[in-house]
Amino acid sequence: MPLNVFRMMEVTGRSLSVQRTRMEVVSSNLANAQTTRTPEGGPYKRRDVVVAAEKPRDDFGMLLEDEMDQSVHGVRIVEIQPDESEPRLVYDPDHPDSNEEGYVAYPNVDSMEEMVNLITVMRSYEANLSTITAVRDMTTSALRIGS
Amino acid sequence: MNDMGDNLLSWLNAAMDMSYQRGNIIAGNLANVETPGYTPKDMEFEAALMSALDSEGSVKDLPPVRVFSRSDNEQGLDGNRVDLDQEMTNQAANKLFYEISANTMKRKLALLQYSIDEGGR
Repeated sequence: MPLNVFRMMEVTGRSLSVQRTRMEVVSSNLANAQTTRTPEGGPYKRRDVVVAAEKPRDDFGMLLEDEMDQSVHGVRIVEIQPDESEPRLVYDPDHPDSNEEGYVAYPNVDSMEEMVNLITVMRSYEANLSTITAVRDMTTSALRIGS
Repeated sequence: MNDMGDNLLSWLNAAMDMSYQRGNIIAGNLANVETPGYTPKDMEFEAALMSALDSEGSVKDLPPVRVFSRSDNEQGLDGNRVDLDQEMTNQAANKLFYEISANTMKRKLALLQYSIDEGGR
């Protein structure tokens, strides 16, 4: 089994950036919870990040390991998907964006749901940070062998 | 590696490689802690280490270690089976094992250095 010293850092670094993107999407959802106008028209639609386990890169050793189910899977973002569920209708005839019946379409953002997502993102981020610390300490102890 | 007397150094070397590999696997599990449908992996680590120690206390070569999927873990609503507590515990234990091995290696080398120095007098 080939030993790649920096593979661990690579996997973790990628995961940290995935969590950061998820955090940005959550904050964008929260920031636009009341946005009734968007460039594409209509109210803002909340967005979801779709993540998937990453197949190893296409070098032979990694492919072989993958065939043997021995490889380490990183994580990647597949897409940032708009949530197509119905907007929230609020009766407010004085609002400039109200329709003929006096209803305003507000974004389908549920702040409770976003807060829960925010917390899970934070936990994932912290878990991956602990990997960085572990790798750093392990490498340091290996470097101390000769001294 | 010629270890002058016993094969402790090469055994430690193999054990540290194995531990690093396990660290990789745990890192992959932690990276995918929120990935739908992901099943975590682990190595049969302790079993391999135990089998390399015989009853007289001397060390044999480490056998190759099997990576397995932890598919009997409880499944979340999105099909993800990563248990965060389990992974964090394994990571802490694995890190300790690696550091202990590195330290043992350092001491073994210091002993060799000592006999070399004393022999030269």
